[in-house]
Amino acid sequence: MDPSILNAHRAAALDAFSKKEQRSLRLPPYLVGRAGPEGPELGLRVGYPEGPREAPSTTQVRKLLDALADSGAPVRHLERHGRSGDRWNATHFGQLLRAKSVGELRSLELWDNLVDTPACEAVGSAGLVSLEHLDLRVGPPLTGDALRALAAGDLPRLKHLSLRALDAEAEELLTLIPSRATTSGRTASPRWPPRKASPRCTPSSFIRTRRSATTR
Amino acid sequence: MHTLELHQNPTVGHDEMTLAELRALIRNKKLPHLRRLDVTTVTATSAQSKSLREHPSTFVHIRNV
Repeated sequence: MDPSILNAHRAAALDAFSKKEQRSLRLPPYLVGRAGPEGPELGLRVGYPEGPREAPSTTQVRKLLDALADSGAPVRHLERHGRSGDRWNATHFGQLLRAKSVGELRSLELWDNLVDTPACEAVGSAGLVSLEHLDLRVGPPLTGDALRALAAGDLPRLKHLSLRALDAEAEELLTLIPSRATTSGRTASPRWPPRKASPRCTPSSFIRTRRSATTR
Repeated sequence: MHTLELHQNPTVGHDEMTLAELRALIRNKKLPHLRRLDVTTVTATSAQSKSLREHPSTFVHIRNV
């Protein structure tokens, strides 16, 4: 796929923010894209290890997600790798998951020192009906309550589950298995490469392409 | 569910889900679509690992840390 198409979607999403806000938040590096099986897809990688030191807040990420919902390209991936001393509040995280484009997410990767049960409640109540990959490595071991909170949400397409330590019974793990047999009927989307993005889809290539376009 | 990864943290010292419990889930076909099980743990013995790997429909990868 022509990278300029992805760039156009990305630029449209960033237009919701003033230039000053974009600079202060260093938003462009967080927004990545790729050619998905059904067209261009966008992903947000917030606070990943290689990223800027100052990560945007949950409010700012929600604003960006809402802006992306109007840009035309679906947001398929949300990734958050927190650092010590820089963690999200579980309540605010739940509010973030009420953004308009969240229902289109197919991949959610959250590595943070969030409290386990509230974070799982937030994910379970977010209506992530398209979610296929869930990587939830929150602070303490996940308890049975946390697993039940996750299972309370409808995750009919869940195919890949990655969890940190479990302090729960094996039977409680089974509550997460989708009750409807949709796993065999649909091919899973390619997993978002957390750290091995295609060279065309890296943030720096976006920036380079935009700069070269403006200098012509 | 096709893939299940459990990253047990050896430094926490909590009650981990044991490999025997996971084995029972697979043997009893409670996870019928599972193709890959990836476990990082400190509690696996070689016999337990071997017993989990006896099911050809599921690829099992166990890392003892």
